[in-house]
Amino acid sequence: MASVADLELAMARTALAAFGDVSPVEGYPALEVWRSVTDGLGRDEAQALPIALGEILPLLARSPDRLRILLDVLTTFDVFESMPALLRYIASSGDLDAVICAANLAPNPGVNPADSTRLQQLIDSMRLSNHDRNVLAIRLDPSAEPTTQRLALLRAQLWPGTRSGEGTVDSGLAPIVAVDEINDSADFRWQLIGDLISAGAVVRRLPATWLKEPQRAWLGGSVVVLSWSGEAAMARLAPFSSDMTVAQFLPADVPTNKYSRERLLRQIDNALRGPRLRIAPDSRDVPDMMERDSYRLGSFDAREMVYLAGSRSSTLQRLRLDLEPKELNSGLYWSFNQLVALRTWEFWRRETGRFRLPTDVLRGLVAFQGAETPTQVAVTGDGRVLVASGQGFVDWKTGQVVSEDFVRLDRVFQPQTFGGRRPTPALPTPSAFTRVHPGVVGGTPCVDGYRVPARAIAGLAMEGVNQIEKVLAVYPEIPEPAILDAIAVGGQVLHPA
Amino acid sequence: MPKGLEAGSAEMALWMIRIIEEDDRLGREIRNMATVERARAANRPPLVISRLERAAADEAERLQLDARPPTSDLARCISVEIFFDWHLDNSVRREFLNAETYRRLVESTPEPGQTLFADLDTAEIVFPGVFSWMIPRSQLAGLDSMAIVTAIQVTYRPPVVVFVLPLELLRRAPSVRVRVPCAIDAIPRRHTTWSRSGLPEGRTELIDSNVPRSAVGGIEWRA
Repeated sequence: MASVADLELAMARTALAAFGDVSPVEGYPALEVWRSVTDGLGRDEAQALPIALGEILPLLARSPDRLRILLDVLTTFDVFESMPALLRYIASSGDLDAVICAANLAPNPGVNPADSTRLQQLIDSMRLSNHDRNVLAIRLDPSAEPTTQRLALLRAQLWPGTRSGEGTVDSGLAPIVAVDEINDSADFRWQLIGDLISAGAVVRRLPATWLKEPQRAWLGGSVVVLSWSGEAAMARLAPFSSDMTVAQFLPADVPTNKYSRERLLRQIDNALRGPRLRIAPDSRDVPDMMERDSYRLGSFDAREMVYLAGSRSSTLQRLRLDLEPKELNSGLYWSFNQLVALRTWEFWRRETGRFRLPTDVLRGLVAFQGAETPTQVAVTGDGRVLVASGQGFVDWKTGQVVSEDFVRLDRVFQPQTFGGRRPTPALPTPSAFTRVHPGVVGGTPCVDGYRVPARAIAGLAMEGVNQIEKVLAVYPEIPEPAILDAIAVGGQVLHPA
Repeated sequence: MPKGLEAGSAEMALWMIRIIEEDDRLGREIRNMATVERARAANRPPLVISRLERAAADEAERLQLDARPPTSDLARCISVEIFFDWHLDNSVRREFLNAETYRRLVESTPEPGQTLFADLDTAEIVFPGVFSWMIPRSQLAGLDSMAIVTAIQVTYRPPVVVFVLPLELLRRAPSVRVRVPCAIDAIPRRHTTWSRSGLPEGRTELIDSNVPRSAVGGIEWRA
């Protein structure tokens, strides 16, 4: 088994390679290095990373561009464990940017008070302008008076507890997310923090072990605390910030993959009363299901077609010649374009009340080759498929502008309810925890973020009475609410109306 | 390669070798050298990267002899993080926690471009030669930030900071001479999306020796 020193050396080598590979003048180098270094780490390796980042400081000292990226990494990702290495570097170099980095880290309760004292001694021994002294004082002491308007903003950013009045000074400030490290795991913690930084948050780490108590202004009413330790986190932090409320504590399930991390990010943004974060479009948001590469994929059986298209078995049989399903092992299977065609046709005839609607819509959409997003695709009653062009829609085959009535497919993909019939679910999200993508498990509704079909879970749950526990044991990585939701959806797939 | 740092991955070393080998505008000597280094790339990537960087710098000097004065307004597009790290006046930069907090401040101002220009570092050289990838300004007309990112084939997210370099100011700066970049120019920038065939849709990139601050006519903020 590798020793801690071996792991730190390995992580230092990994980090050095990442710094060597990154462009110092392109994009967001600090985030790129972070992503590169933290990708695929094991738990022990991830644990060794912060110390390793500190240890490469002297190695980067002669490379000003890379050194600046490293200081940016240490500050932005709150790598307070690097403080001893930073102090050694400052003592030998007197580098003011390194001093500022250390001052950013110093308030973290994971920093040894002796290191904070040493930092102050080093600052006192340096020849600094009044402005630079104020820049440092603001970082170290929430009661320091800012000498410029921007330093006042800096103080509000760094010491949220000094902000007066809820929401009054949040304009121009980045939201702060504190990550409680009790019961978490360093490997997913680093990836989650990378996501938060990418989304524009300021991250504040709350180490499992405190070497000092945090200053009261370090937290405040505007900070969201992400915690895996439940009420223990609240009990630990409450004494240090009188204006914190239960609503600020976000209990989290351990995100096991990219998709569950994305979901967590959205929860955090809600807790921040967002939108405050810059969250990229959901990577499974399947506007891209309409893309050329996806649109003709999928193999839906009759029960999935009936459920997802809001149709009936008898209708599906009647339209067999129009939809031309594939026959395989004496079963019939339809692709996603055929599902979209059937759903749109059902939508159109319900909207118009024309229950003997011609099947032009079906044939038009089946023949369509796909586009960028559903909002860019529409269909007319006579089956002409339109794509967005400039301010309007044009026929995708002829390019002619169309002025007659049409329906956009994003409307078709919304959940539908008609009379007493069972509602037709939304696409691509039939329910809160399930999702459809033609390129994933043939398109059958799966648990969001997992390649586990809802019907498989439902099938398992239906094998006997009180089978929920059994299902939870088979899929321990899937949260219980998602399991329950999948059972409901899977049940509807297996037993369509 | 910056002095004192021997770092980098085999993947990076092999990428450098490949683009040098494939660019027939480069001299035979550097292309042969890249091929020879291929044998070492997997085992000693830092050494290979370091050698290729030095060779690329030498080759860039030779190529710069063919550079010509610019003939139109130019623009240089960067991310707000790069502006924060390398173009912001030091005293201003120290008033912020990181690039994100600066971005939020800039976005909250009525004229973000003017804020950036006012905060611009006073250093004489605004873009060192190797990092001076520019594009004729007219080719950015009407493009929003997402379209710019696609047009210049970079991978970062908006907003985009656009340095405007008017021809009139470029002409007054005698050192400004531009040429079309080649493989060795992509190396210091680690421009792994660079293509020998250039930018899509007929857009042209140009590279200079050093761009002085006096050539900057303004800064645009494309959100």
